Amino acid sequence: MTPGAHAGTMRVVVIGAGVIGLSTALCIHERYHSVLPSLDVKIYADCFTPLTTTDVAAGLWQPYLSDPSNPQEVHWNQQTFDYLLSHIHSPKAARMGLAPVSGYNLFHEAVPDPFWKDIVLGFRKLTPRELDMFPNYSYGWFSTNLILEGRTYLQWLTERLTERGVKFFQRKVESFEEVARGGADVIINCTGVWAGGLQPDPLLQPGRGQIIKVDAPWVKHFILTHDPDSGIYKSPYIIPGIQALTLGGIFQLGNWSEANSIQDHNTIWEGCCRLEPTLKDARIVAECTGCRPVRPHIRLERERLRFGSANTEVIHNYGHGGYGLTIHWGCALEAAALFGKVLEERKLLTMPPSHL
Amino acid sequence: MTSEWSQTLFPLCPMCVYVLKEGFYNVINSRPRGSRICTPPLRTAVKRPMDAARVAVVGAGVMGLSTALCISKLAPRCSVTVIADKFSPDTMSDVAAGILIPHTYPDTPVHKQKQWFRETFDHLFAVANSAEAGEAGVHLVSGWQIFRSIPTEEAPFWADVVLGFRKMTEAELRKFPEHASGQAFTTLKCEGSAYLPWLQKRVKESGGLMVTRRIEDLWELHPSFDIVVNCSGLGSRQLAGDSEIFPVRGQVLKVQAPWVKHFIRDGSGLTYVYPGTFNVTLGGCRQKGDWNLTPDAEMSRDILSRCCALEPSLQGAWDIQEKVGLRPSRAGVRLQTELLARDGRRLPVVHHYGHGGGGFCMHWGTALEATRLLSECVQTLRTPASKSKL
Repeated sequence: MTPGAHAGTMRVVVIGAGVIGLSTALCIHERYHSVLPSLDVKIYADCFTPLTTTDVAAGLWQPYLSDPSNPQEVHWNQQTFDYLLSHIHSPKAARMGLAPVSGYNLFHEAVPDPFWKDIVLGFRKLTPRELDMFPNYSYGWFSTNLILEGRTYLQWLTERLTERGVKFFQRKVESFEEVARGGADVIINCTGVWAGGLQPDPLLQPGRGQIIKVDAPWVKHFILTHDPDSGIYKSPYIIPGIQALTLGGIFQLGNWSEANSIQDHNTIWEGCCRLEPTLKDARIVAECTGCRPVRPHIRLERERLRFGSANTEVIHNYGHGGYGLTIHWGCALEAAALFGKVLEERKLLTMPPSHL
Repeated sequence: MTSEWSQTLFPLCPMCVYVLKEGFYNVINSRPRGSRICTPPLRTAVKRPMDAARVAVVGAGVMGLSTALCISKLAPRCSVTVIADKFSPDTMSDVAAGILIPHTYPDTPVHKQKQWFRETFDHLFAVANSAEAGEAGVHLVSGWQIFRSIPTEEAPFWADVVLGFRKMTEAELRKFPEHASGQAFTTLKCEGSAYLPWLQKRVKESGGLMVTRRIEDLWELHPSFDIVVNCSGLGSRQLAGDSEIFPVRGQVLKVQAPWVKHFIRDGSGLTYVYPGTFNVTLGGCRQKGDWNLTPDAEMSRDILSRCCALEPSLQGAWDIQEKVGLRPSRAGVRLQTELLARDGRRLPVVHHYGHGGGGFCMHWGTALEATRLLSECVQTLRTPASKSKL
């Protein structure tokens, strides 16, 4: 069967059901379904929530401290925050796993303000009395960010996609060719840390993280510590979720192990209890490990592949490191824009592109 | 003032939290400033000497229990018995949200209110940062106080006591389209349902006793007790013959909405959302002179509707429970010693009541002051020939 055999058909397969896969699928369907009735979107993944990398993430909206190497990422972060902020007034916010959350970023010495200081709300420096709460730190920020809990958000995205008739298939994809020969016109590659299995990418590496979830409902603020010698996520952090509190502080580049490590458990527990003594009696409810898809910058671009006599468009959208939830919607919008270009080129749009 | 006093009466502060400017008293660990709660000292094992003053604290709400604790830690050689008809979870303090945002008392000088608030804030701040925080139900919470118009005063008297007080930004105000201005800060929440049992436990560890009994007349406590500390709130209408104290009825909803991490308070004080450890408190109302303890269904609907207008995600709240409390209101807090006399008998009474809706905000500061008054009574009892300060 050759792809595109039916005139005007557009069969899209999204590979990956983490936050990137599901949000990109939703964004494309929302934008193009009404102008392209033949649009058919399917999701192929070997694992779904609660077993994806997204499910392990604490879900705090916050980019890295340093400027991204690709300036477009600043824009995508902003778009995501604005999109999420527009939903916090809605009664459905909690069902999305979304809520505002305030908290502390702590440092051992003064640092420049981050590029996202005007994206979050109420960004300011910490006062001396606030710093007194954290004896090992001498400088910091207070801001109001957002929580977007991975598991809850994936469930919500799944519901929205199912409502729209998007079908999910549990399968391990071994190659783009297999998906193309199966009839896909466009493949959206959201395979995260495993993208190298479909196409070698030396820039992509696992950034293993482990987290402990505890029951500590009196903790209402996030606390992120930073140690310039260790690097991002290697210093203890505490992030409140809707129900449970996430404790973390592990980032191991190149480690593919998805098993919990006792040593890492101790590192997290001791670091977080030193930071927040009130955790002493908190009950542990879960512990998990995930591999962040680390890359110097996100791979978000088109690639045209040829299998047999037809062209298959692949839109890559992977490599979001530890800030996938933070940047996901901006990337989904960009992927949808790239998809729009494909439709234009194939003259499939019944409306002029500017309408979109 | 606090530190001088504590050095006079009781040089070591083993339990309470005093954030002293020059240093700190903490026998357990070396955390500088912003001190900690220590474990109780060996003192609890020491028997009270025969000439211990026998103190009865009437009332087991936040005032009774915190005063009992201050007395057992700070007043020399006193035995403390807390007597009340109601203990947690059946007191008015259990209904209160316990958020530290002060009201103002028209008859109390502002500097005094500020002092009490600061002492209370410092005490609870140390608890919140200690390993006891979860058990005591004390934690930090950030949020917003919002006004429909621009308030006349630049900043309230307590602005430099809470943390990070500042005006809200335009972007933050967009969350509240019907409000023109607001203040953002971090304060403390102290939940009666956890804090009261925690106080009780600490009082008992210091040798204090709890007795469930309804007192109809303070003279019932004579001669078993030498001094009475009256923390009976609205009960003082009867027990102290005080017609100046009256109820201001408050109804609240305690709901499950664990995604709400910030407090929101309308500047009028009538509508508020206060997230706590176990639930979120939604309020409220202020009905002067109303003694009715039964929840009103229409008021509940109104509260939920007003709170959802501020925080629409509350439409998803579940397990909604209605509670009613009567604020023991008075133009000013009564902190005063009175010497009751009848048929040749004498009974000193330290009155400590009338905090209205500001009980949790001021409780530790006023408990310290009540303890000072009590210590003066004890001194007077022990030196009958000296001139009485009463």
